[in-house]
Amino acid sequence: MSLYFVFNNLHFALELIGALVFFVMGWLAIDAYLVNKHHSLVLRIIGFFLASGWQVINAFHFNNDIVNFFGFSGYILGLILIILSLISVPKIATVSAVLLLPSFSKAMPSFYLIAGILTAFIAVLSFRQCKREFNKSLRLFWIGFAFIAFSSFIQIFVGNDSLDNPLWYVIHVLEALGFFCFIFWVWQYIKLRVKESLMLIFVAMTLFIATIVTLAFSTILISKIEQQTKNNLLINTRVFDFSVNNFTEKSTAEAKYISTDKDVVQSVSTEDIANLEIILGRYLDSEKLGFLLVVDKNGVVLMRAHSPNERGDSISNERTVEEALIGNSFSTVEFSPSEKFSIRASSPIYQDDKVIGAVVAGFPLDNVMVDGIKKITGLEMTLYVNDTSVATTTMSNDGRSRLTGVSITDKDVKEEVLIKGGNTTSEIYIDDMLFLSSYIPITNGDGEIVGMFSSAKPQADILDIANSTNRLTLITVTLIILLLTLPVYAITRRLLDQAI
Amino acid sequence: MHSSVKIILTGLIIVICIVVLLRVSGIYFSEQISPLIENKDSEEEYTNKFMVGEEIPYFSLLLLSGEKVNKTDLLGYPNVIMFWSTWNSSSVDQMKIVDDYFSSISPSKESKLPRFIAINSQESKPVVENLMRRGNYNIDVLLDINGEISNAYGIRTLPTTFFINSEGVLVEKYIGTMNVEEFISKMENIIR
Repeated sequence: MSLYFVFNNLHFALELIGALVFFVMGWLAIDAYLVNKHHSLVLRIIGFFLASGWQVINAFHFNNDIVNFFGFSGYILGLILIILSLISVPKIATVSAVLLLPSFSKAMPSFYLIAGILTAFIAVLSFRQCKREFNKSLRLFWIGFAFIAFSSFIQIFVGNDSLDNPLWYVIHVLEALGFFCFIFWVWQYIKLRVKESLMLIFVAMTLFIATIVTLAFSTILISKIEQQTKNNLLINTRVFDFSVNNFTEKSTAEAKYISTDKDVVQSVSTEDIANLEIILGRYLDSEKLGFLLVVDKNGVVLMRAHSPNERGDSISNERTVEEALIGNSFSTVEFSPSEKFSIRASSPIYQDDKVIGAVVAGFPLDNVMVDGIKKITGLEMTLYVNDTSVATTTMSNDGRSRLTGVSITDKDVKEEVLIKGGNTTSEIYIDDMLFLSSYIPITNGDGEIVGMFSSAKPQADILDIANSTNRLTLITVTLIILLLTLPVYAITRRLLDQAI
Repeated sequence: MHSSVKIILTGLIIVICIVVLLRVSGIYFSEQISPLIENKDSEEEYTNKFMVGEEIPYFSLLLLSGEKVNKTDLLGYPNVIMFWSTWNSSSVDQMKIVDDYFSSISPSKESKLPRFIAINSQESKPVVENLMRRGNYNIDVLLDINGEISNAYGIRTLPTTFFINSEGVLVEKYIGTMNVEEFISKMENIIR
């Protein structure tokens, strides 16, 4: 299992601890309200619970803008309520006071800014209260908020959670420090009350166990999914390899067939360009070829059926044409000025046992081809000439252009595939996105490795499965634990009541 | 004031200042840097054959399947028309982006969306068919073999996309490649 998933799970656990802490703080506020019935405490209770709700949403990484938007709005509202409750706090304050704001990263930096300012405000307010009342117990509270405020501000720079950003770790460390401050703060109150401690410990333990079970479960599941995805990717690249072989065979067969067409032979010998255009256009269409061209005995292009205006250039130095003009059929993968990187097969055209030209048929290995394969497999496909991508289905971050012209920097991939000619699967960053990617070499007609082919799946897709699994597992495990332990809790309370 | 609080508050103020400065200078918020491809509408105004708010010119062209489509067939519901060619990689990219979008949505939703038509500019049927087959693109393509319609629509750059409402009136013209978010938001403008 990759580090990526380990950190994803750490994030999950930390945010859930945050949710728990907020929940307990809300609970304490309820407790305080039952004692002195001050209306400001109601605001605080709602505020804490809203913040707790946001932590849960943050932990699960919902890929739903509506949920995230409402969650974050709820969080901001919660913070405002907490501030209001602090401002309208009675002169002689009871224990529970300010609350903290956790940080969250989404696409809207301004949201983080608001959250940061609000948390900082809460920290200052609680600090003032702490000073005013010489209440040392509030110290942990405002320090915790200050940590959370810092982490919110830093989050502005991270935007979408990107695990490769060092700031991501700073944010989570600050957040963890903030939450620990809160935990200690909460504990100094509840440790004195048996019933409340019992209840809180019970709830906390339930969530804690549920989190552990969820993480253990998702760790196993994700490592399996990852392994399976790797296998699928490899199978997929082999399917591509197979279809390249098919295309090569088809091209060879078609080139041989077309080179024996009497009309073609006649048109080449008389250099009847207009007639060649008609005949070759018909073949291109009926035989479903990617491209089709005819050269004369000097290797000068007489007609390109796929691009009739481009002709008259010499391609005698290409391997396929070279071989055909000395009388051999030949197929390979090579680069040509007009069709670029392509599968090509040639066959000589004979008239009276003399080679008068050649037919070259084939399929371009271009963006259109990888698009066609992606439509079937659903995976991102990329073709490389040596280590540089020449055709891909992956779009850059702006969503407008394809990520072609990008070189692979991973030395292991280069060595395993381009030098040794084997397959490999590895995690790779392309334009700041992490992909799980499988590679196989592409060899030409002379057996040399000329490039490679890869199929890839964004790591984020696998992470989505992990997060949705976490969600479901946590809910199920919590319900099971509650069901199992409620009778024990009830009996313990009764015993306690009798004892007191 | 307590000295540690002073330190923390000063720290917070510094962080806020840095954030504001970076926002203003646009160093960090790369998504706010202007898009790579600008809509060049204003430059092209002089060469426009017709303008936003006007009705689109008449055309009558053949689909790859051989069926005839003319302008009156488009009236009654919104349409998006893109001019493209197989040799222009930007327009093939646009084709992929649009095709990916339409294949990702359910058929019931698709029936409520504008119809997308790609008019190929000055290429022969086998060439266009070849590309559509290889890329597995599921988009209606009309053939403007002699380029008359491209001329009537004032096409100078490919791809050029026209967003047309149900009355056949041009709502927006876009030159260059759109990402999927831009494409969707422009489609929403003509559904309204």
